[in-house]
Amino acid sequence: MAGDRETPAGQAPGEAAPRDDTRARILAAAMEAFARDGFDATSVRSIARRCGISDAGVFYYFPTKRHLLEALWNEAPAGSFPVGDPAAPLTAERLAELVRATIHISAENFTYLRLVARQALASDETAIALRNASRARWRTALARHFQAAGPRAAELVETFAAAVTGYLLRLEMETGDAYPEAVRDDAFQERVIRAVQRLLPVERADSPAAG
Amino acid sequence: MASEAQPIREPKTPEAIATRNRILQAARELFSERGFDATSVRMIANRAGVSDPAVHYYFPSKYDLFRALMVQPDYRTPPVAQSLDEAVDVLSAMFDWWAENAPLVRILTQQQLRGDPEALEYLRDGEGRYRAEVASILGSAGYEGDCETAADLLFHTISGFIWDAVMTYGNAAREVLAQPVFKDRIRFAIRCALGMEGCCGG
Repeated sequence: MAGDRETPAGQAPGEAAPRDDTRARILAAAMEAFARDGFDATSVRSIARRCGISDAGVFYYFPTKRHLLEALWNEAPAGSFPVGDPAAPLTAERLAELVRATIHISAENFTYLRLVARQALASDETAIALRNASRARWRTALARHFQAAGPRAAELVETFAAAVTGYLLRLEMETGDAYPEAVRDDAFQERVIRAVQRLLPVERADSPAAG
Repeated sequence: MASEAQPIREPKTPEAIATRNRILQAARELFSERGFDATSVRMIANRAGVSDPAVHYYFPSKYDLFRALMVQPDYRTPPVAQSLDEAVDVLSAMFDWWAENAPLVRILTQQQLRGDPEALEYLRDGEGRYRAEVASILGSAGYEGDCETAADLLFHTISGFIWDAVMTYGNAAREVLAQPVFKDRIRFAIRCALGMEGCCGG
């Protein structure tokens, strides 16, 4: 994100100097619009209006609409996921922690993730590659937590990932723009946690191991 | 399904049935190749070798065509199973239909994430029917747990597999989901949902 400093650039007579944060504002507006309405359906004009500048103001930074999209790929989120101890047994409590961490990342980075998913479904190769890379990182992080579960660890990771993906995407379909608030709702999080704990055959610290 | 403003006509003669099937096949191919937005009724009519009005006669809108393609067959009528193992087989077979129709599922998923009201109606309606069928299958198979809880787990887990596959593999999802490694994963997940897998905390 840009700071508050103003950086003078080559000015035409009578024009105000473009500012660092204008570029950031354009990117933020574009990300939201592309994520919600799709790349094709979004005009540069609507992005410009949203920022209170002219079309030329946008084109100054991004010669074409596609240049905007390309720049957005660099706005990838940094998410922090709990680091797993491969020797530690997988417990129901750990599953709850992993669900909460996943939900937190999906809420914090909703616009970016929505954009990537939307573009991936539209066969945008860059989006598909970015999405696959971040999904792979997520699975690798999960695998560290599941390692102690033994030979079924890989299948457990896939089952966990599918279930959490299912609950989150179903919610997104239902709530759309309101997803970040909806997914952070405690009742929803508890629902997903309980579901994952029932689904994955791990020990609960607070009850005898079930067969 | 919701009632239409215009009637959905059923073909009555063998020629009419064949024509309707040709139209559906053309639509299936074009939607898979080009996506929903980029496919026009004109293109579908051309590929099927019929006129535009002929398409509209059976399918008043492009969405009616898509919806006709997304009608699932009855896997088993009535939906019952004699044992839990058989229930796993039946539930796995239900997944196969989605896997085979992955290109259409991709379009549907796009529409659902866009908030398209008809696509969301299809989703809610389909979810309700799936849950009811699962509850029936599990009940008849002598499942001792709560059928609705199991149906909730199954719906979300299976949907998660499918949605991730169509986003990851696009139109190649159909081939990917047909592979044994994937079918085994689905089976494992179904067994987990039914409490049939042993404890693996480590």
